[in-house]
Amino acid sequence: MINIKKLSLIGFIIYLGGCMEPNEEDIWSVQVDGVLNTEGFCRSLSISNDTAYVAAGQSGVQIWDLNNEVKLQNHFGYIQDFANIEFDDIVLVKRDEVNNLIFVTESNKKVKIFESTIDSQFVYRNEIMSDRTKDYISFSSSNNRFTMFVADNDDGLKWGKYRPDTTVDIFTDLVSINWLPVVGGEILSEGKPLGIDSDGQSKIVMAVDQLGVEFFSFDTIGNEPAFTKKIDLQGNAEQVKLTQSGVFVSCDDAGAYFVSNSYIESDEGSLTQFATDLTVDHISIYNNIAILSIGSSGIALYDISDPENPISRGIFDVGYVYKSYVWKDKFLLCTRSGVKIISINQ
Amino acid sequence: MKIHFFLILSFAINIVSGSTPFDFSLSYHGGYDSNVMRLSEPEIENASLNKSVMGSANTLDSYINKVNVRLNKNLFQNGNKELMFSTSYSFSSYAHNPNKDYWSGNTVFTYKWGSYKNIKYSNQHLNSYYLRHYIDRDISKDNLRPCSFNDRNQLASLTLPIRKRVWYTIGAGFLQRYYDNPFTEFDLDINYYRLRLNTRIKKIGTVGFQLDRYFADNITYQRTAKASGFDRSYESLEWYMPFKFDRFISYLNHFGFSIRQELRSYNAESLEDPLHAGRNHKDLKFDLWVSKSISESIAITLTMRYRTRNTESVYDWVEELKSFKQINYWCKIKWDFSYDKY
Repeated sequence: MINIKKLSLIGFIIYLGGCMEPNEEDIWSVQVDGVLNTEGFCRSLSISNDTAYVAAGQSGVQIWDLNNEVKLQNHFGYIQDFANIEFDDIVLVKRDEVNNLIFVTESNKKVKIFESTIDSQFVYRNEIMSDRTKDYISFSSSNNRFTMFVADNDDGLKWGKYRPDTTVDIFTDLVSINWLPVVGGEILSEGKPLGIDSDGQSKIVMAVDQLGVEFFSFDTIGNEPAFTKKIDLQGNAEQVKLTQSGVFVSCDDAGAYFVSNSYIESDEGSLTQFATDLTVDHISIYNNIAILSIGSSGIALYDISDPENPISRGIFDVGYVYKSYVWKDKFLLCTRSGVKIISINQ
Repeated sequence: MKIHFFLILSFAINIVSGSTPFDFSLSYHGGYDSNVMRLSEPEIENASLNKSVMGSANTLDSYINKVNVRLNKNLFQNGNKELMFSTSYSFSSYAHNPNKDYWSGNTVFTYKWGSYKNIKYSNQHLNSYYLRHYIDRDISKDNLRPCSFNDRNQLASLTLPIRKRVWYTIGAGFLQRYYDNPFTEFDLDINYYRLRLNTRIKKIGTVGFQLDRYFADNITYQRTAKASGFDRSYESLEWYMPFKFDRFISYLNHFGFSIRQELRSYNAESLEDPLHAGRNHKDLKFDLWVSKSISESIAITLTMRYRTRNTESVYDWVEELKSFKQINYWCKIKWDFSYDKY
């Protein structure tokens, strides 16, 4: 007779040695939850109250309801001095919710100001700053003012505090509103500014192409900023993102950098280069997630729980991505096939 | 997965009391592999310009040292009915390519109830078998990492006679081929079915013909990042014909040769995946061996294998990239001995 003990042992051994479990990689996954078909290339956007203000390239300025994924407005041009003017190629759109303004910039042009409300009004006001504006950030105040910092490619850092100025044409009785500078100026840069970010409290950082990044500080918003430091980086610094612990810089042909606050202040902290084999066009940050826009290769995700030691969590081919933005707990990707709404599973 | 279960198994068998002896064999294999990383001709040319493709290796070929220990034990016997157990462990070391070092093991249970009548269950494990360095496309565009996989191959088979000196085997198997990090996008679950016919030819030897049909499912398709965007599932048919001559020779114990060919076709059809779309290959292995006992317990076996894989694709560069040739030589010295505590 077969010994039961032996049979049990054999069964146990077969059970032990049967199948094996696959290895798990420490990478995250991306799920595309929706696509907003902008028709033209989506080059950048601005989010306010669950509404996206989209720079849709040759498809003009678009306004989308993000919750319902419905296009609310599409402006291919505007009226100036009774003339219809078509947009050329929109690259930047920013929303000022407090002053009901939309800032629009065509490639290498000035910043155009439009007044916009939800009832489809889209009224041209005037242009500010100068040609070759590459990037800007504005902070509005409740007394009909906004302050804007601009990365001007052929000058440097431009800044200005603006107020509305209302005039009435004595012949036509038409009321026109222009936003005029209350105060402003510029700080020349040896580099070619491409991107800018500010915390609106005291810091400005500007990407200056081959020359790295420049840092500025100011006392209060609207006061003149002062140059504080320049850090040279490999590659071409294109975009910057300020965080509480430091600055993330996207560098064409050299990946990305994290520059810690202590390094900025005293040269003693860390200057961390990562994603060195990628061409990084833009970085956005949300909690411990860094989304690197890498053009035709899509996006690269990094775990920045320890920003001085970013860990790669995967490259995801989600189309040609220019920039990314955080919306609630999701992310909006500006791609050549529209705005892609994605979720990241860690 | 990393549990060295074959050692546990050996230990477990040892603790089982039994009245039959433990039969051991210990063998050393000295070998040579002409193309360790299975590089195609364009890759060999490229390796001379970009050595990082070869990992830490300096040469394309390597000398191989391999040690194998096998234990056989008859667990139960009653007349012509018997239950046998066999387990083995091998460690291979590549002198000129340390990445390639690996161990493997297997366990086989066989229940026999007459000549050519048996049921067999086998479980084989191949641990971290290195292929070569590949780019980890999940996180990088050019970062090369060592790529290795683990196999767990289970096969259940039934052997029965057809008529005198002719018998057949049918079987079903499940092969898990799971890659080490960071290449899990290649993970495969492979179901396969086997049919084998054998015949013993009087005064000559035995001839066999075996057919294996494989269905490989790429279980991590679209489950990692960028690299899993391609489906690596495939189907294949492998035929194998061994000829063993052991009756008309006096000086040698036996010699033989075999031909094995796998015809594989990838399921991918996406134009965005030129590497796999519409690709198929023919992998031919020709083996030749001679064996001679130099004493009652020691035998020497010499083996030679020539392998060539020809890939067919609509893209010429894929055909060139995925075709290769390889030659192996082995010299095995085996020592058989028994332990019987009674």
